Amino acid sequence: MRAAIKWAPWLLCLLLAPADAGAEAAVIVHADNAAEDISRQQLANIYLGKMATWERGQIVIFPIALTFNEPLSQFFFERGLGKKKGELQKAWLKLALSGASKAPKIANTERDILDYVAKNRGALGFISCDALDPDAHRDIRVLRVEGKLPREAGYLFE
Amino acid sequence: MTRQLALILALLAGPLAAEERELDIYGFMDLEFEYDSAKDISTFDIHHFNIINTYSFERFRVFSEMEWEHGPQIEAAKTEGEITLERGWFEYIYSDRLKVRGGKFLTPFGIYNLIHDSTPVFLTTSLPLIYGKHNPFGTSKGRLYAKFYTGLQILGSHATGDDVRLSYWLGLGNGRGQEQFSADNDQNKSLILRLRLALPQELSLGLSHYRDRNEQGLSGLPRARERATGLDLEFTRDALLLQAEYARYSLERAGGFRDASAYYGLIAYQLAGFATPIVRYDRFDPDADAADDANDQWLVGVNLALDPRIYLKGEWLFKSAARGGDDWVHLSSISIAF
Repeated sequence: MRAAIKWAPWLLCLLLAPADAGAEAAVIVHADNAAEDISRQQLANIYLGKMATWERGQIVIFPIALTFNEPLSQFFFERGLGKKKGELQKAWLKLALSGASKAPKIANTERDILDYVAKNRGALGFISCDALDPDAHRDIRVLRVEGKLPREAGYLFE
Repeated sequence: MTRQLALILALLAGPLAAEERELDIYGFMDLEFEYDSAKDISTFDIHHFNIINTYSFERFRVFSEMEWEHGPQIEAAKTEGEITLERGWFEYIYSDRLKVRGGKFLTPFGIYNLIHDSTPVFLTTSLPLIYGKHNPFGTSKGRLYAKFYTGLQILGSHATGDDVRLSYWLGLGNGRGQEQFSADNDQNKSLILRLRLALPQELSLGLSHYRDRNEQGLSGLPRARERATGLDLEFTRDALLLQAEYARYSLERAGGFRDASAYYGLIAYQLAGFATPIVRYDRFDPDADAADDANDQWLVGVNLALDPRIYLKGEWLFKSAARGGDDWVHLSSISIAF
Protein backbone atom coordinates (compact mmCIF):
# COMPACT_ATOMS: atom_id res chain seq x y z
CA MET A 1 0.00 0.00 0.00
CA ARG A 2 2.79 2.35 0.94
CA ALA A 3 4.56 1.62 -2.35
CA ALA A 4 1.39 2.37 -4.27
CA ILE A 5 1.09 5.74 -2.55
CA LYS A 6 4.73 6.44 -3.25
CA TRP A 7 4.37 5.62 -6.93
CA ALA A 8 1.06 7.35 -7.43
CA PRO A 9 2.56 10.68 -8.53
CA TRP A 10 4.80 8.93 -11.04
CA LEU A 11 1.94 6.94 -12.49
CA LEU A 12 -0.27 10.00 -12.64
CA CYS A 13 2.43 11.86 -14.46
CA LEU A 14 2.93 9.05 -16.99
CA LEU A 15 -0.64 7.96 -17.55
CA LEU A 16 -2.07 11.41 -17.97
CA ALA A 17 0.74 12.66 -20.13
CA PRO A 18 -0.48 14.33 -23.29
CA ALA A 19 1.17 13.52 -26.59
CA ASP A 20 3.23 16.73 -26.58
CA ALA A 21 4.40 16.35 -23.01
CA GLY A 22 7.89 17.53 -22.14
CA ALA A 23 7.74 21.02 -20.69
CA GLU A 24 5.97 20.00 -17.49
CA ALA A 25 8.27 20.07 -14.53
CA ALA A 26 8.06 17.81 -11.51
CA VAL A 27 9.61 18.83 -8.19
CA ILE A 28 11.44 15.89 -6.68
CA VAL A 29 12.97 15.01 -3.33
CA HIS A 30 14.53 11.93 -1.75
CA ALA A 31 12.02 9.22 -0.83
CA ASP A 32 12.95 9.56 2.86
CA ASN A 33 11.99 13.22 2.93
CA ALA A 34 8.86 13.69 5.01
CA ALA A 35 7.60 16.62 2.94
CA GLU A 36 4.51 15.99 0.80
CA ASP A 37 3.69 19.43 -0.48
CA ILE A 38 5.62 22.58 -1.25
CA SER A 39 4.39 26.08 -1.91
CA ARG A 40 5.56 28.39 -4.66
CA GLN A 41 6.91 30.72 -2.01
CA GLN A 42 8.93 27.92 -0.42
CA LEU A 43 10.38 26.97 -3.79
CA ALA A 44 11.38 30.57 -4.35
CA ASN A 45 12.90 30.79 -0.87
CA ILE A 46 14.88 27.58 -1.39
CA TYR A 47 16.31 28.59 -4.75
CA LEU A 48 17.06 32.13 -3.55
CA GLY A 49 18.93 30.88 -0.49
CA LYS A 50 16.40 32.14 2.06
CA MET A 51 15.30 28.69 3.23
CA ALA A 52 18.05 26.25 4.15
CA THR A 53 16.14 23.62 6.13
CA TRP A 54 12.82 21.84 5.82
CA GLU A 55 10.07 22.50 8.32
CA ARG A 56 11.25 22.39 11.93
CA GLY A 57 14.82 22.17 10.69
CA GLN A 58 14.62 18.43 10.07
CA ILE A 59 16.95 18.27 7.07
CA VAL A 60 19.32 20.78 5.53
CA ILE A 61 18.24 21.42 1.95
CA PHE A 62 20.66 20.88 -0.91
CA PRO A 63 18.97 22.40 -3.96
CA ILE A 64 20.01 21.43 -7.46
CA ALA A 65 18.99 23.08 -10.72
CA LEU A 66 19.27 22.23 -14.36
CA THR A 67 21.60 24.44 -16.40
CA PHE A 68 19.98 27.52 -17.88
CA ASN A 69 20.85 26.25 -21.34
CA GLU A 70 17.90 23.87 -21.02
CA PRO A 71 14.45 25.36 -21.77
CA LEU A 72 12.99 23.41 -18.84
CA SER A 73 15.15 25.40 -16.44
CA GLN A 74 14.05 28.75 -17.84
CA PHE A 75 10.41 27.59 -17.75
CA PHE A 76 10.70 26.41 -14.14
CA PHE A 77 12.27 29.59 -12.81
CA GLU A 78 10.12 32.00 -14.76
CA ARG A 79 6.91 30.18 -13.84
CA GLY A 80 7.83 29.29 -10.30
CA LEU A 81 9.97 32.19 -9.14
CA GLY A 82 9.13 34.89 -11.67
CA LYS A 83 12.87 35.24 -12.25
CA LYS A 84 14.85 35.32 -15.44
CA LYS A 85 18.24 33.76 -16.07
CA GLY A 86 20.30 36.90 -15.47
CA GLU A 87 18.49 37.81 -12.24
CA LEU A 88 18.99 34.34 -10.78
CA GLN A 89 22.61 34.09 -11.82
CA LYS A 90 23.26 37.42 -10.14
CA ALA A 91 21.41 36.35 -6.98
CA TRP A 92 23.35 33.08 -6.84
CA LEU A 93 26.63 34.88 -7.34
CA LYS A 94 25.80 37.14 -4.40
CA LEU A 95 24.92 34.11 -2.26
CA ALA A 96 28.17 32.40 -3.14
CA LEU A 97 30.40 35.44 -2.59
CA SER A 98 28.72 36.65 0.60
CA GLY A 99 28.60 33.16 2.09
CA ALA A 100 25.04 33.88 3.21
CA SER A 101 23.79 30.51 2.08
CA LYS A 102 24.63 27.68 -0.24
CA ALA A 103 23.89 28.50 -3.86
CA PRO A 104 22.11 25.73 -5.82
CA LYS A 105 24.25 23.12 -7.49
CA ILE A 106 23.99 23.24 -11.28
CA ALA A 107 23.46 20.00 -13.21
CA ASN A 108 24.04 19.55 -16.91
CA THR A 109 21.40 16.87 -17.41
CA GLU A 110 18.21 15.62 -15.82
CA ARG A 111 19.97 12.31 -15.23
CA ASP A 112 22.47 14.16 -13.00
CA ILE A 113 19.59 15.62 -11.00
CA LEU A 114 17.94 12.24 -10.55
CA ASP A 115 21.20 10.69 -9.37
CA TYR A 116 21.90 13.57 -6.99
CA VAL A 117 18.44 13.53 -5.43
CA ALA A 118 18.45 9.74 -5.12
CA LYS A 119 21.67 9.87 -3.12
CA ASN A 120 20.94 12.80 -0.82
CA ARG A 121 18.14 13.00 1.71
CA GLY A 122 18.14 16.78 1.76
CA ALA A 123 18.20 17.30 -1.99
CA LEU A 124 15.48 19.04 -3.96
CA GLY A 125 15.40 19.35 -7.74
CA PHE A 126 13.16 19.49 -10.76
CA ILE A 127 12.95 17.41 -13.92
CA SER A 128 10.52 17.02 -16.77
CA CYS A 129 7.74 14.49 -16.32
CA ASP A 130 9.19 12.55 -19.24
CA ALA A 131 12.30 11.80 -17.24
CA LEU A 132 10.36 10.06 -14.49
CA ASP A 133 10.89 6.33 -14.21
CA PRO A 134 9.51 4.80 -11.00
CA ASP A 135 11.28 1.50 -11.58
CA ALA A 136 14.67 3.09 -11.99
CA HIS A 137 14.32 5.72 -9.27
CA ARG A 138 12.79 4.15 -6.22
CA ASP A 139 14.61 6.62 -3.95
CA ILE A 140 12.82 9.63 -5.38
CA ARG A 141 9.42 11.14 -4.71
CA VAL A 142 7.46 13.81 -6.53
CA LEU A 143 6.19 16.66 -4.36
CA ARG A 144 2.83 18.31 -4.70
CA VAL A 145 3.19 21.99 -5.57
CA GLU A 146 0.50 24.14 -3.97
CA GLY A 147 -1.41 20.90 -3.32
CA LYS A 148 -1.31 19.62 -6.90
CA LEU A 149 0.66 16.91 -8.66
CA PRO A 150 1.91 17.15 -12.23
CA ARG A 151 -0.85 16.81 -14.82
CA GLU A 152 -3.56 17.72 -12.33
CA ALA A 153 -5.67 20.68 -13.35
CA GLY A 154 -4.14 23.94 -12.20
CA TYR A 155 -0.67 22.49 -11.59
CA LEU A 156 1.85 25.33 -11.47
CA PHE A 157 4.39 23.87 -13.86
CA GLU A 158 2.12 22.52 -16.58
CA MET B 1 23.89 23.54 33.95
CA THR B 2 22.17 20.26 33.09
CA ARG B 3 19.62 22.12 30.97
CA GLN B 4 22.35 24.03 29.18
CA LEU B 5 24.21 20.79 28.46
CA ALA B 6 21.02 19.15 27.19
CA LEU B 7 20.40 22.13 24.90
CA ILE B 8 23.91 21.92 23.48
CA LEU B 9 23.53 18.17 22.86
CA ALA B 10 20.15 18.71 21.22
CA LEU B 11 21.64 21.40 18.99
CA LEU B 12 24.45 19.13 17.89
CA ALA B 13 22.33 16.04 17.37
CA GLY B 14 19.45 17.24 15.21
CA PRO B 15 16.61 14.91 14.24
CA LEU B 16 17.91 13.96 10.81
CA ALA B 17 20.97 14.67 8.76
CA ALA B 18 21.53 15.16 5.06
CA GLU B 19 24.24 12.99 3.62
CA GLU B 20 25.56 15.37 1.00
CA ARG B 21 29.17 16.50 1.10
CA GLU B 22 30.33 19.13 -1.34
CA LEU B 23 33.49 21.09 -1.89
CA ASP B 24 33.14 24.20 -4.02
CA ILE B 25 36.01 26.37 -5.15
CA TYR B 26 35.37 29.70 -6.83
CA GLY B 27 36.40 33.32 -6.58
CA PHE B 28 36.74 36.66 -8.30
CA MET B 29 39.27 39.20 -9.43
CA ASP B 30 39.29 42.75 -10.68
CA LEU B 31 41.58 45.10 -12.50
CA GLU B 32 41.21 48.80 -11.73
CA PHE B 33 42.41 51.92 -13.47
CA GLU B 34 42.49 55.20 -11.55
CA TYR B 35 43.26 58.75 -12.61
CA ASP B 36 43.52 61.45 -9.94
CA SER B 37 43.18 64.95 -11.34
CA ALA B 38 44.75 66.66 -8.34
CA LYS B 39 47.92 64.59 -8.53
CA ASP B 40 47.74 64.12 -12.30
CA ILE B 41 48.74 60.50 -11.97
CA SER B 42 47.15 57.30 -13.16
CA THR B 43 47.63 53.69 -12.16
CA PHE B 44 46.49 50.15 -12.79
CA ASP B 45 45.84 47.87 -9.85
CA ILE B 46 44.85 44.24 -9.42
CA HIS B 47 42.84 45.32 -6.43
CA HIS B 48 41.42 41.92 -5.54
CA PHE B 49 42.24 38.35 -6.40
CA ASN B 50 40.19 36.18 -4.06
CA ILE B 51 39.76 32.42 -3.86
CA ILE B 52 36.82 31.05 -1.89
CA ASN B 53 36.36 27.48 -0.68
CA THR B 54 33.20 26.11 0.86
CA TYR B 55 32.71 22.63 2.21
CA SER B 56 29.18 21.56 3.11
CA PHE B 57 28.45 18.38 4.97
CA GLU B 58 25.35 17.40 6.88
CA ARG B 59 24.52 20.39 9.09
CA PHE B 60 27.88 22.09 8.77
CA ARG B 61 29.47 24.50 6.33
CA VAL B 62 33.05 25.65 6.31
CA PHE B 63 33.81 28.84 4.39
CA SER B 64 37.18 30.39 3.70
CA GLU B 65 38.31 33.28 1.54
CA MET B 66 41.92 34.10 0.78
CA GLU B 67 42.64 37.52 -0.65
CA TRP B 68 45.63 38.74 -2.59
CA GLU B 69 45.04 42.49 -2.53
CA HIS B 70 46.93 44.93 -4.77
CA GLY B 71 48.86 42.14 -6.52
CA PRO B 72 51.10 41.40 -3.57
CA GLN B 73 54.78 40.87 -4.01
CA ILE B 74 56.74 39.80 -1.00
CA GLU B 75 60.49 40.05 -1.08
CA ALA B 76 63.12 40.52 1.55
CA ALA B 77 63.77 44.14 0.63
CA LYS B 78 60.33 45.32 -0.36
CA THR B 79 56.73 44.37 0.27
CA GLU B 80 53.65 45.48 -1.62
CA GLY B 81 50.00 44.59 -1.17
CA GLU B 82 48.42 42.20 1.29
CA ILE B 83 47.69 38.51 1.59
CA THR B 84 44.84 38.04 3.99
CA LEU B 85 42.54 35.38 5.27
CA GLU B 86 39.52 37.60 4.65
CA ARG B 87 37.06 35.16 6.11
CA GLY B 88 37.38 31.73 7.66
CA TRP B 89 34.45 30.30 9.56
CA PHE B 90 32.40 27.21 10.21
CA GLU B 91 28.63 27.21 10.49
CA TYR B 92 26.28 24.85 12.25
CA ILE B 93 22.77 24.96 10.78
CA TYR B 94 20.16 24.03 13.34
CA SER B 95 17.33 25.63 11.39
CA ASP B 96 16.71 28.76 9.33
CA ARG B 97 16.04 30.57 12.58
CA LEU B 98 19.24 29.50 14.26
CA LYS B 99 22.70 29.14 12.77
CA VAL B 100 25.87 29.38 14.78
CA ARG B 101 29.20 30.43 13.32
CA GLY B 102 32.70 30.58 14.69
CA GLY B 103 35.78 32.06 13.07
CA LYS B 104 36.73 35.28 11.31
CA PHE B 105 33.95 37.30 9.68
CA LEU B 106 33.19 40.47 7.85
CA THR B 107 31.36 42.52 10.48
CA PRO B 108 27.64 42.48 9.64
CA PHE B 109 27.15 46.24 9.41
CA GLY B 110 25.18 48.01 6.70
CA ILE B 111 24.43 46.90 3.16
CA TYR B 112 27.94 46.41 1.86
CA ASN B 113 30.13 45.10 4.63
CA LEU B 114 29.00 41.49 4.16
CA ILE B 115 30.24 41.67 0.57
CA HIS B 116 32.92 44.27 1.22
CA ASP B 117 35.47 43.21 -1.40
CA SER B 118 33.22 41.17 -3.71
CA THR B 119 33.31 43.66 -6.56
CA PRO B 120 31.30 41.58 -9.06
CA VAL B 121 28.17 41.95 -6.93
CA PHE B 122 28.08 45.69 -6.48
CA LEU B 123 27.63 48.33 -9.11
CA THR B 124 30.48 50.73 -8.47
CA THR B 125 34.24 50.36 -8.20
CA SER B 126 34.46 52.54 -5.09
CA LEU B 127 32.42 51.91 -1.97
CA PRO B 128 30.57 54.74 -0.21
CA LEU B 129 32.59 56.90 2.21
CA ILE B 130 30.85 55.20 5.14
CA TYR B 131 32.93 52.10 4.37
CA GLY B 132 36.28 53.83 4.02
CA LYS B 133 39.06 54.70 6.44
CA HIS B 134 38.87 58.13 8.00
CA ASN B 135 40.58 60.27 10.54
CA PRO B 136 37.58 61.75 12.32
CA PHE B 137 39.24 63.14 15.44
CA GLY B 138 41.90 60.63 16.30
CA THR B 139 45.58 60.16 15.71
CA SER B 140 45.39 57.74 12.80
CA LYS B 141 42.96 56.54 10.18
CA GLY B 142 40.39 53.90 10.92
CA ARG B 143 36.95 52.68 9.89
CA LEU B 144 33.78 53.51 11.76
CA TYR B 145 33.77 49.90 12.95
CA ALA B 146 36.07 46.92 12.54
CA LYS B 147 35.84 45.58 9.00
CA PHE B 148 36.48 42.06 10.34
CA TYR B 149 36.21 40.40 13.68
CA THR B 150 37.16 37.04 15.15
CA GLY B 151 34.76 35.33 17.46
CA LEU B 152 31.25 33.95 17.39
CA GLN B 153 28.13 34.78 15.46
CA ILE B 154 24.52 33.72 15.86
CA LEU B 155 22.30 34.44 12.90
CA GLY B 156 19.06 33.41 11.29
CA SER B 157 15.85 34.64 9.79
CA HIS B 158 12.17 34.37 10.48
CA ALA B 159 9.55 34.79 7.76
CA THR B 160 5.80 35.29 7.90
CA GLY B 161 3.36 33.95 5.33
CA ASP B 162 3.42 37.24 3.47
CA ASP B 163 7.15 36.86 3.03
CA VAL B 164 8.00 39.58 5.46
CA ARG B 165 11.36 38.35 6.65
CA LEU B 166 13.39 39.45 9.64
CA SER B 167 17.05 38.49 9.48
CA TYR B 168 19.35 38.91 12.46
CA TRP B 169 23.01 38.67 13.30
CA LEU B 170 24.50 38.83 16.78
CA GLY B 171 28.26 38.76 17.08
CA LEU B 172 30.80 38.68 19.87
CA GLY B 173 34.48 39.01 19.07
CA ASN B 174 37.85 40.44 19.86
CA GLY B 175 37.80 44.18 19.87
CA ARG B 176 40.00 46.32 17.69
CA GLY B 177 43.56 45.95 18.86
CA GLN B 178 47.05 45.46 17.58
CA GLU B 179 46.51 41.70 17.17
CA GLN B 180 42.78 41.57 16.99
CA PHE B 181 42.57 38.23 15.16
CA SER B 182 44.79 36.19 17.44
CA ALA B 183 45.21 37.94 20.78
CA ASP B 184 42.66 40.20 22.39
CA ASN B 185 44.43 42.14 25.09
CA ASP B 186 41.67 44.32 26.43
CA GLN B 187 39.05 43.41 29.00
CA ASN B 188 36.03 43.89 26.75
CA LYS B 189 34.80 42.22 23.63
CA SER B 190 33.27 43.84 20.59
CA LEU B 191 29.53 43.39 20.29
CA ILE B 192 27.74 43.48 16.95
CA LEU B 193 24.04 43.45 16.21
CA ARG B 194 22.33 43.71 12.85
CA LEU B 195 18.63 43.47 12.03
CA ARG B 196 17.26 43.49 8.51
CA LEU B 197 13.57 43.59 7.75
CA ALA B 198 12.67 42.56 4.20
CA LEU B 199 9.19 43.67 3.23
CA PRO B 200 7.13 42.75 0.17
CA GLN B 201 7.73 44.89 -2.93
CA GLU B 202 11.50 44.44 -2.55
CA LEU B 203 11.92 46.98 0.23
CA SER B 204 14.30 46.28 3.07
CA LEU B 205 15.29 48.22 6.17
CA GLY B 206 18.36 47.58 8.28
CA LEU B 207 19.75 48.56 11.66
CA SER B 208 23.35 47.87 12.69
CA HIS B 209 25.21 48.50 15.93
CA TYR B 210 28.84 47.97 16.86
CA ARG B 211 30.54 48.67 20.17
CA ASP B 212 34.02 48.02 21.35
CA ARG B 213 37.01 49.26 23.27
CA ASN B 214 39.53 50.36 20.71
CA GLU B 215 43.12 49.49 21.49
CA GLN B 216 44.58 50.92 18.32
CA GLY B 217 45.22 54.30 19.87
CA LEU B 218 42.92 56.13 17.46
CA SER B 219 42.04 58.80 19.97
CA GLY B 220 45.14 58.80 22.10
CA LEU B 221 43.49 56.74 24.83
CA PRO B 222 44.82 53.19 25.26
CA ARG B 223 41.35 51.63 25.53
CA ALA B 224 38.91 54.10 24.05
CA ARG B 225 35.28 53.16 24.06
CA GLU B 226 33.72 53.38 20.62
CA ARG B 227 30.36 52.67 19.10
CA ALA B 228 28.75 52.95 15.69
CA THR B 229 25.09 52.78 14.76
CA GLY B 230 23.78 52.60 11.22
CA LEU B 231 20.48 52.64 9.39
CA ASP B 232 20.04 51.45 5.83
CA LEU B 233 17.33 51.19 3.22
CA GLU B 234 17.22 49.33 -0.05
CA PHE B 235 14.45 49.30 -2.63
CA THR B 236 14.32 47.54 -5.96
CA ARG B 237 11.49 47.65 -8.45
CA ASP B 238 12.15 46.05 -11.83
CA ALA B 239 15.21 47.87 -13.16
CA LEU B 240 15.32 50.53 -10.43
CA LEU B 241 17.60 50.37 -7.39
CA LEU B 242 17.57 52.84 -4.51
CA GLN B 243 19.96 52.63 -1.57
CA ALA B 244 20.62 54.89 1.38
CA GLU B 245 22.65 54.51 4.55
CA TYR B 246 23.41 56.63 7.56
CA ALA B 247 25.97 55.84 10.27
CA ARG B 248 26.99 57.70 13.41
CA TYR B 249 30.23 56.95 15.18
CA SER B 250 31.29 57.92 18.71
CA LEU B 251 34.82 57.64 20.05
CA GLU B 252 35.98 58.33 23.59
CA ARG B 253 38.64 60.96 24.01
CA ALA B 254 40.18 62.55 27.07
CA GLY B 255 37.43 65.16 27.14
CA GLY B 256 34.54 62.78 26.52
CA PHE B 257 32.86 61.30 23.46
CA ARG B 258 33.08 62.91 20.04
CA ASP B 259 30.80 62.05 17.15
CA ALA B 260 31.31 61.62 13.44
CA SER B 261 28.64 60.77 10.90
CA ALA B 262 28.31 59.72 7.28
CA TYR B 263 25.55 59.01 4.81
CA TYR B 264 24.94 58.36 1.16
CA GLY B 265 22.12 57.92 -1.30
CA LEU B 266 22.34 55.94 -4.53
CA ILE B 267 20.02 55.62 -7.50
CA ALA B 268 20.58 53.25 -10.40
CA TYR B 269 18.45 52.10 -13.29
CA GLN B 270 19.26 49.20 -15.58
CA LEU B 271 18.75 49.84 -19.29
CA ALA B 272 18.38 47.18 -21.97
CA GLY B 273 19.09 44.49 -19.39
CA PHE B 274 22.81 45.18 -19.07
CA ALA B 275 23.74 48.88 -18.78
CA THR B 276 23.17 50.51 -15.39
CA PRO B 277 23.81 54.25 -14.96
CA ILE B 278 24.46 55.19 -11.33
CA VAL B 279 24.41 58.41 -9.35
CA ARG B 280 25.53 58.50 -5.73
CA TYR B 281 25.97 61.30 -3.22
CA ASP B 282 28.26 60.79 -0.21
CA ARG B 283 28.90 62.94 2.81
CA PHE B 284 31.25 62.38 5.70
CA ASP B 285 31.33 64.70 8.69
CA PRO B 286 34.43 63.92 10.77
CA ASP B 287 33.37 65.94 13.80
CA ALA B 288 29.80 66.80 14.67
CA ASP B 289 30.96 69.66 16.89
CA ALA B 290 33.07 71.38 14.26
CA ALA B 291 31.52 73.45 11.49
CA ASP B 292 32.46 73.31 7.80
CA ASP B 293 34.68 70.27 8.04
CA ALA B 294 32.57 67.79 6.07
CA ASN B 295 33.74 66.05 2.92
CA ASP B 296 31.25 65.24 0.23
CA GLN B 297 31.38 63.76 -3.23
CA TRP B 298 29.18 62.98 -6.20
CA LEU B 299 29.64 59.79 -8.13
CA VAL B 300 28.41 59.42 -11.69
CA GLY B 301 29.05 56.12 -13.36
CA VAL B 302 27.86 53.17 -15.35
CA ASN B 303 28.01 49.41 -14.83
CA LEU B 304 27.92 47.16 -17.89
CA ALA B 305 27.01 43.50 -17.30
CA LEU B 306 28.85 41.81 -20.16
CA ASP B 307 27.86 38.47 -18.66
CA PRO B 308 26.34 37.56 -15.28
CA ARG B 309 29.94 36.97 -14.15
CA ILE B 310 31.73 39.83 -15.92
CA TYR B 311 31.19 43.52 -15.15
CA LEU B 312 32.78 46.56 -16.71
CA LYS B 313 32.54 49.70 -14.58
CA GLY B 314 33.37 53.35 -15.14
CA GLU B 315 32.82 56.22 -12.72
CA TRP B 316 33.81 59.78 -11.94
CA LEU B 317 34.05 60.98 -8.37
CA PHE B 318 33.72 64.72 -7.92
CA LYS B 319 35.12 65.47 -4.49
CA SER B 320 34.58 68.58 -2.48
CA ALA B 321 36.80 68.48 0.59
CA ALA B 322 36.20 71.22 3.12
CA ARG B 323 39.86 71.83 3.77
CA GLY B 324 41.49 70.37 0.72
CA GLY B 325 40.02 71.96 -2.38
CA ASP B 326 38.08 70.33 -5.20
CA ASP B 327 39.29 67.27 -6.98
CA TRP B 328 37.98 64.62 -9.30
CA VAL B 329 38.97 61.03 -9.77
CA HIS B 330 38.18 58.62 -12.55
CA LEU B 331 37.92 54.93 -11.74
CA SER B 332 37.24 52.13 -14.14
CA SER B 333 37.48 48.42 -13.57
CA ILE B 334 36.58 45.02 -14.80
CA SER B 335 35.34 42.46 -12.26
CA ILE B 336 35.20 38.79 -13.08
CA ALA B 337 33.74 36.00 -10.97
CA PHE B 338 34.96 32.49 -11.64
